[in-house]
Amino acid sequence: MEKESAAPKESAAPKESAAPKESAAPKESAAPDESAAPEESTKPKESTAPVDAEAFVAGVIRDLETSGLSEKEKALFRFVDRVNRHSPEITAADMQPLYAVGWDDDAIYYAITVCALFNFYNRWVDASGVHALSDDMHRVGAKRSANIGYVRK
Amino acid sequence: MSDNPKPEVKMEPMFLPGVENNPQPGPYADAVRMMQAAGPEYPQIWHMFAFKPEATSHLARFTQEIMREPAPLRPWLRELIAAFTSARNHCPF
Repeated sequence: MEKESAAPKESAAPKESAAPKESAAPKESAAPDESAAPEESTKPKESTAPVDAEAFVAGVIRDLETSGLSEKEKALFRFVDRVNRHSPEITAADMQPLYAVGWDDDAIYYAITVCALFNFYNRWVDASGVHALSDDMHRVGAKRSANIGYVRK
Repeated sequence: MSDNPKPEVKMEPMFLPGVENNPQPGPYADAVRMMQAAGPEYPQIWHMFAFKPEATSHLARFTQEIMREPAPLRPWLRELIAAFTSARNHCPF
C-alpha cells in the first residue's frame, strides 16, 4: 500500500488548502483514491468518506479506537502513541503488528520521525512561551502551510 | 482579520523577550513584520525561527521534507500523526 506513494503530486501539499487546523484533514480534500488505494479495498470506510475533516481529526485525538481510521492506520497510531510516551520500552517486537498489517520500514521511519519532530516543536514552543493562535488564525496558517509548505523564502 | 487593520489586541509576549525582540535578517523576520502590520495575530513560532535563521532554515527544510515530500505515508496522514502527537503532549499546535 505504501507503494502508491508514487503519487507525489498531492504530497506537494496544496490540495488540503481547504483544510482545517493542522491541515491534517486532507483525506477528503485529497483525492480519496490515494489515501485509499490498496488496503482500501478491505476497508473503504475511512479513506473514502469525505466527512467533516475537523471532526475526523478530533475523533482520532479523542479515541483512536473508535475513530474513522482504518485498522491498518490504527495500528500505526498505536505505535506512534508508544513512540510518544514509552519510546525507551520499544523493542523489535513492536514492529511486528505493523508489518502484519502491511507497513514497511520506510513507513515506520516516517511515523517515528514525524512524532519525534513534533515532540521537538512541542517542547520548543511550550517552553519559550509561543502562544497558540485562535482557531480562525490556525486555519489560515494551515492553509498557508498546505499551500506554500514549511519553508519560507 | 483582514478587515481589522489596526491591531487593537496584542498577542501575549513570549517568555523570552531577548528572542522575541531580536529577529535576525531573513524570511521569518520579514514574515513577522508583515503579519504584525496586517493584524493582531500571527504565529509567534516565527520568532523562534527568526532568532537563529542559519540554524532554523535547516529545521524548516527538514520539516518540509519529512512532512510534505513524497513518502510512503500521505501528507494528510503525516499531519495527523503530528496533530495526534501534539494533542497527546497537551500542546495546542
